Amino acid sequence: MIRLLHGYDRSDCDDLFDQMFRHRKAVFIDDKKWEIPSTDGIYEIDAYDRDDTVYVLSVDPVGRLLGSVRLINTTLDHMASSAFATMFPGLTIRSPTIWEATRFAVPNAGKLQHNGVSQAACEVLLGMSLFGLEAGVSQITAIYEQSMARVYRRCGLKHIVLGRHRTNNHGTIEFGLWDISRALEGAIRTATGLTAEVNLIAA
Amino acid sequence: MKMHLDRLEVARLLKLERDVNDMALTTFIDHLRGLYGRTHLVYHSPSLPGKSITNPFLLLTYSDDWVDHYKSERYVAIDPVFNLGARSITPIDWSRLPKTKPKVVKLFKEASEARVGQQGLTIPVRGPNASTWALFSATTDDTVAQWEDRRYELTRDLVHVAQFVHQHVVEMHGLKQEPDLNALTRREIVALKWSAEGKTTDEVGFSLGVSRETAKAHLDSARYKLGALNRVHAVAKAIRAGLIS
Repeated sequence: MIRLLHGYDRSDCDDLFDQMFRHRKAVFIDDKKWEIPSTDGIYEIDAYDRDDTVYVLSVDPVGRLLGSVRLINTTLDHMASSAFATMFPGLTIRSPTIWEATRFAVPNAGKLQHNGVSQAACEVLLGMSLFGLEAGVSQITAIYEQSMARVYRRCGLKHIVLGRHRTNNHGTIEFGLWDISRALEGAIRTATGLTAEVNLIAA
Repeated sequence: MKMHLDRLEVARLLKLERDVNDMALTTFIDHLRGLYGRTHLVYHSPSLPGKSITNPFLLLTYSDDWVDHYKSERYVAIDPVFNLGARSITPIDWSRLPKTKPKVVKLFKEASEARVGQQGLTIPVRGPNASTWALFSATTDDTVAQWEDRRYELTRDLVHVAQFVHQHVVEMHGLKQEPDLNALTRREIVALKWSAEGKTTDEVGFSLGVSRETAKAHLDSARYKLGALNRVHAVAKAIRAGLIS
């Protein structure tokens, strides 16, 4: 199932946050070898994990976290405006209805949907568009490794690439953009086979 | 599809900006109320100079009776909208709030009886500094079906309205929040130039050699950075600032 968490839920949903920050350490520091610091050697948490940050989670029926993504409003301090500003100069998009997605993390493929993408990744992508429809979001920007583009396409998410940055150690990083609409929700559901029963559950 | 905000006449917006005061802003949100129909709008800020949680700055289109009742019952202490809005800027649909505590149930029952509205939406806004924030709320007498049908578009539009009203209220209280013209990117200025010639989003994209989605993002971002509510307004402000001619 898909869950929505807010940064301010951290004390009430301690267990989910704990799992998410561990996942991010496993994915970004252990697997992808990004040069970012870990917290206590077990978590990956940074300055963008604030009260006003939003997370979309895929969670199994017993409360185990399967995948997550982080969303930040582009009028606030976000990664494209600071940490990634030198990678994508001249691309500072700011609007209260445009949100930025980063730290997409699914550590284990697990169960696959019929499009060959893990249920967790499909749920996180669907959850982002459901959050968008809930919160009046017009567009989402995302910073991700190029390999994610294939996942987006297989999940029915048509996205535009605004910028590409080639790195020495981590392949190509893309700056992408897509529209939020009911049509997008429909396209993701059709491509992934996630039915209308799979919906967003707030904390 | 045209957004409701596109129907706001630029002359009205520019006139408002020439002389911002409580009365002009109240008249403006009353006009918006007409634009959206079956809606009440309230701007509420507890953090402006001389204001507090128990004595907030208010602009509203419904009667003072409910405000007086809300204050006398000290509902601010338990109102979940207030509690969440202080910590986040994600819009809050009142129908999604947990209403388990008896006093919270009582608050929403009385709000409904006071004809505040069947459906409610609150957009938290912040700035120009971390300690200045406000809540912009809309309530309607929509049925559940009517609400579901329009809540996405209404929320999206009101997020921009909330920013706009907040920016002007803040200015009125001496916390200057000049738009930072240097923040506009070259692509945003070019997109505005084409928009000034009356081009649609598709056409702006074509002229820039980019997708419609990209053109939309640049125009949306330019609108925000200029403190404008729609495209014609953004173009007018960009011309005045000498960014385009």
